[in-house]
Amino acid sequence: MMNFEERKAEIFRRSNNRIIERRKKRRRALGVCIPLCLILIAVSVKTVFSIVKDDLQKVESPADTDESNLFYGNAEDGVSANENPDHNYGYDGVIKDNTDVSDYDYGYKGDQDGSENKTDIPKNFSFSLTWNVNGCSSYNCETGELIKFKSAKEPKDYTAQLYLSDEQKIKIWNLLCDLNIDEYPKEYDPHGGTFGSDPSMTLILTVKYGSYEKTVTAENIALSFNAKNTKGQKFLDVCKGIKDILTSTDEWKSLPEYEYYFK
Amino acid sequence: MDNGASSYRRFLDGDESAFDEIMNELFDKLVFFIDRYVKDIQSAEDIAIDVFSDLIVNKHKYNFKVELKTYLFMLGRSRALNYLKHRKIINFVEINEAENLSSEYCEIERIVLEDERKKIVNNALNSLPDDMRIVVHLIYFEGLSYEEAAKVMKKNKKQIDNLLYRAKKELFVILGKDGEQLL
Repeated sequence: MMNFEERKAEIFRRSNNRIIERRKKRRRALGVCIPLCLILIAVSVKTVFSIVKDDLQKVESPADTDESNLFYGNAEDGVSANENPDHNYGYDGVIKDNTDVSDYDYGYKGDQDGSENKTDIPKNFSFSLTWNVNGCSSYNCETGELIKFKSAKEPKDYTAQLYLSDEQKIKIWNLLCDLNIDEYPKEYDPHGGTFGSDPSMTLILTVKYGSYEKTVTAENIALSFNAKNTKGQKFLDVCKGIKDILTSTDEWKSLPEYEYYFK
Repeated sequence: MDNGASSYRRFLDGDESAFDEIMNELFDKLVFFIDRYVKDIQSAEDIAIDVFSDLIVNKHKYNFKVELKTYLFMLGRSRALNYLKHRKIINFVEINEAENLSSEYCEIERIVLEDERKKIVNNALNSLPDDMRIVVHLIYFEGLSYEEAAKVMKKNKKQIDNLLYRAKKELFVILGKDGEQLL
């Protein structure tokens, strides 16, 4: 048994040890908690910041809203409506009424920039397409001359003036954007010469804007819009798409029936 | 005397001598009480030292709503039970050392139980179960109220009453006719 002084000394010694131990534990806990809290704060701030940033971007570019109500740059008057739901168009939130889009560099890049500014068609954009058996039908956007049957006895009867609407122009521009026309040679057979037909078909597609001009000629190819290769199919699809737009117009429908058909 | 509460208040105010007063008043009683549980006077002393160091380390845990003696006994019981729970190694002691320990116990007993009558009861207590022994200790030797004893033992007043009643009956049997006069 200890005497009084020994007991007292032992009590204070143990108390001091316990106090020191408790301080160490607190420091250890703080050593863990403070970095953990800082990390949590940093992560929270980063998360909040990214959420706010996303919200701001949504406010600035409401791309998910009804696109038919949005106005974009246009070839004729600088204003057009985007009604093609198949494409994701850029939107800069500015109505380009007085913008001379021909001043811009509209270098045709096909799919490389396919999703950007497709609605901002160049002001001096034009195209021409010749199709059908022996190339008997054609349309020239510059002159507006639509010919249904060149081989007719009276070709004038098969000729009409067609001025495409902004909407139709945008659709055609988008089709051409999807087709990287630079990839195609001037003389081209979308079927790869693997098969032919009698009669044959001719497709001549010309694209112009600014100083750029490219013509792809596919003469005397098989009379079919189904190719066995992707590249050729793409070309045929674009030509068929433009043809379908042209032949769906009232001007085309008002022209008389073909004088004869090939068997 | 308020069983050390005023002394502890003075100690908290910075009076170091007040702690000596508390130790003088309560340390031996606490050792004797803890020994009821651990049945080892040296372990009881060790635990009592820890209990008193609690008073220094956790200065503001004691809220003065119970007497300091009751508070210390509550801490002592808790630590004693904890000690018993975690005691895994049984220390075997030499016979001569055991004799020394026995003399130490007698010394504590002499200090705490000044009254000869209490010493007789104390000897009879060893044959009682733990709970009864401790209830008798708290009520008869330490002079705690039923409420205070209930707080120390974490029981209600009724349970204390029952335990004490049964303990008395046992003691009457052990002590015989003298028991009625002693209790």
